[in-house]
Amino acid sequence: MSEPRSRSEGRLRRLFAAAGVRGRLHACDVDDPGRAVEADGGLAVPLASTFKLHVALAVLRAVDAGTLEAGETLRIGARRTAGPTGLAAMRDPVRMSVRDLLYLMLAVSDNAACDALYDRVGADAVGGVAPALGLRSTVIRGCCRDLTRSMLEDTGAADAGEVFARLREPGALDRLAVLDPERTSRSTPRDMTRLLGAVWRDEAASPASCAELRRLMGLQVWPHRLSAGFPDDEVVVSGKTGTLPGLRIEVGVVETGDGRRTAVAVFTRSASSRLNLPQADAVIGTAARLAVDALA
Amino acid sequence: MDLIRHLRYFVTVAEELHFGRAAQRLHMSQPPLSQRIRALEERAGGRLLQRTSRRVELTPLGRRLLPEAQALLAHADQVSGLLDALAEAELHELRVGLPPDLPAALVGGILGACRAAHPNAEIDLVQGHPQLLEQQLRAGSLTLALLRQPVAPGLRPGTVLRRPLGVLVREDDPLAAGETLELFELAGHELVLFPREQAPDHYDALLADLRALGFAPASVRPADGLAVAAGLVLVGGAVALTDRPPADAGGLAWLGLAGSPLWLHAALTRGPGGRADALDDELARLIADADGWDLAGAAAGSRPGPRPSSGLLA
Repeated sequence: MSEPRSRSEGRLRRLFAAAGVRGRLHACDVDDPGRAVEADGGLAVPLASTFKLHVALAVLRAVDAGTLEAGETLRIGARRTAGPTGLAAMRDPVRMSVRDLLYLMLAVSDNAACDALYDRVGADAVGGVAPALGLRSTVIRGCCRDLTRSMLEDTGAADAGEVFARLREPGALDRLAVLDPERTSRSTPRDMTRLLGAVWRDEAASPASCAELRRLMGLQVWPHRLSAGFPDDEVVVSGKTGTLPGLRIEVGVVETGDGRRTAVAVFTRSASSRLNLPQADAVIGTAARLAVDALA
Repeated sequence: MDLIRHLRYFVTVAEELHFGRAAQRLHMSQPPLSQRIRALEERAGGRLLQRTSRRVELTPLGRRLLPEAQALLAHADQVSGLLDALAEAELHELRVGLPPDLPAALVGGILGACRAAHPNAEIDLVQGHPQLLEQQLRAGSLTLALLRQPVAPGLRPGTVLRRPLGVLVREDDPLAAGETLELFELAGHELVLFPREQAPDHYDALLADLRALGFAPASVRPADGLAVAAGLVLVGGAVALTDRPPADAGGLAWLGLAGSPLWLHAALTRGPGGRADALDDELARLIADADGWDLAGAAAGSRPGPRPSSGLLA
């Protein structure tokens, strides 16, 4: 690591500490991945909702292979995986096309859309994306309903609302399997930027499918994390968040006005178990900005 | 083979005539239960239970074993009860760890409750810093201790108690004019806080919360005990975050935070092999009533409301 790179690592650590989080980051130039900045970028992290990128790639690769039509419609019944957004928060049965389910899964992190797609392509196809892309530190274990069930079991809660009440008890976060990379879907920040680089270089699927995934990641609605670090109007930020109690993630690509494309993966664990910690969300953007600037 | 345990499994299955229900009663899963029954059958040299696809029945061998097993288990339960009674009578030493800075009346109340619960025991109250109490609890030289939460794994915390944190300021500080404070009003002051090594997890969580709620202290000065914290505030330029004012608060004001956003959590905690008894709950209630703590379990009636952006798997 060069002199200025190691200096940015120290600054990243101080930045994370000032926001009250432990942070892990990897950032690299999509078109020259050897140019990278990191802070513990090779350590294992739980994926939370960012595993949805693997679901998206499994779906798009099946479309490329001709085993699935993007226009095929799937039925989402009244019984479905719960969640705070999209179909997961709605009540009535619907039929929706695979490509629109992809949109909901990526734009608002819709858990019901994700599980419908996961069930359609199968666990093996989703688990096969990482080895196909050479991501050796990435393992996918189950879908959204598995994560929810695991949290209900670990907290002894009857529903998601009660999970949050139980997690207020001091020390409760330490018991959650979904926060333990050994017991849930896991990756490293470095593997995640490698995945993003493959999408932005048209290597992760066909060029058309990669372009579609880039379009959908650019339609993500959340403004509070990666985007918050880049208020400049000429910067394009495309990303996917991941959120669990105490865990805040965003991985994405920042395209700056000078034509650079930087893949960034930021994973944070907060000491506080509060659900709403604006500062812990914002530091994901600030840290990403620091990394993007360091690579200029 | 732990004969008594294996016989207990056998008797439970024989009573339920259903592996699933028996496993449920025994708070275990079905595969290990089947495994233990097989081990017992191996020992008996033949089948004890006939399993058909629909139901479980006793074999002649099983029917012969059942009354003997039931008699032995009943006797074992008697002996176990006797052992508990003996242990209770033999509890001759009760060492309770308490944090410094508790009011004398409360310490007296705790002592009284301990004496009433264990009249024959010699009762020792030990005051000390959290890390010292935790160490002694792990080493077994304390029976139980009132410890700040969360504690590292291995200890056994009981009912969680909580107290709102407030701010100690100089009486002539403009901040002292109101009845409560907003955290952002503390800007520009140095923050006085307990030393991090006393409770690292709590310390980190508190600082993260402070920043999230709008107060990013330029510097944090550790103070070991309320008197030191008070001294640092009296010297000027600093405020202290504490759960109570010092006994002698001359020249100082102690103000609550609007909306009580910050809490100190504590629980009567037993050591690794310890077992809570009725005394733990009684002490928790006593401390709650006499010293203004909430029983956090009861106070947690309000449910946290996640927003879409912070909900599960957003």
